[in-house]
Amino acid sequence: MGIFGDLFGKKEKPRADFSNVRSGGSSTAPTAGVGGPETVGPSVTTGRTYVVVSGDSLSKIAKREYGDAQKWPKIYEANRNIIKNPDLIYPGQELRIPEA
Amino acid sequence: MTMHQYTRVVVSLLSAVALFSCSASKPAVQTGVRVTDIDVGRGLTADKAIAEKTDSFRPADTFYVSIKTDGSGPSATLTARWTYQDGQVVDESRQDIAPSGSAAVTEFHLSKPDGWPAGGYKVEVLLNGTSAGTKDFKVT
Repeated sequence: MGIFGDLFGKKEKPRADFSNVRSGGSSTAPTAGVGGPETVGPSVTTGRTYVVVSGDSLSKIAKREYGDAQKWPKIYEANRNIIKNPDLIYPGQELRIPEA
Repeated sequence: MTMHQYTRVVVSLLSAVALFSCSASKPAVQTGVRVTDIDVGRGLTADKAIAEKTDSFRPADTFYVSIKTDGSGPSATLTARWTYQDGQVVDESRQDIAPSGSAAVTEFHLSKPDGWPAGGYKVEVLLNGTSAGTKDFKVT
């Protein structure tokens, strides 16, 4: 933009910034190559994770992940190494979500 | 070529033909995996289905896409390609799974700690590199 934007009186919109996006995933199917066809029954493929966003609490996450807010201690116990106080979690923290 | 050598060649050829015939007559083993359903929403249930389906998100939400597959195979690659309205690829994640026949559910999720820009988004699901479907949604 710069000169040309000024010359023609146009202002370009700044591009949206997606540099800090966090992604993850999991599956009920066995992982290809790890255990492979010998794995029987549903299993989690990767460590299931959840990235804390603004407004979250452990009970909210438990409600979302397990359908039961009372199960928050399960998430707390699985993340004792990064959660010092269960009432204080921060946006951007990556929590391990154990199976229900 | 001696008679003995000639006999060995003929026997080898006949064995090869017999072997080929056997394998050709075997029914093909069905190893196909296919995507049967794609849902987008705010949360997941314990079995990785979407808990709250929606196509309208808030900036602080986490996007979830849940993909149901059917069939079996030693390896299938599922990809979730998330794009913004201006064509920017927001994220592309892959999972290699080995579904064993029964229906499987695979989820991908995406979050942005400082909030999503408002606008239109799309998630395209690819199975082994081929598009299996897309879902459009927006952030308001």
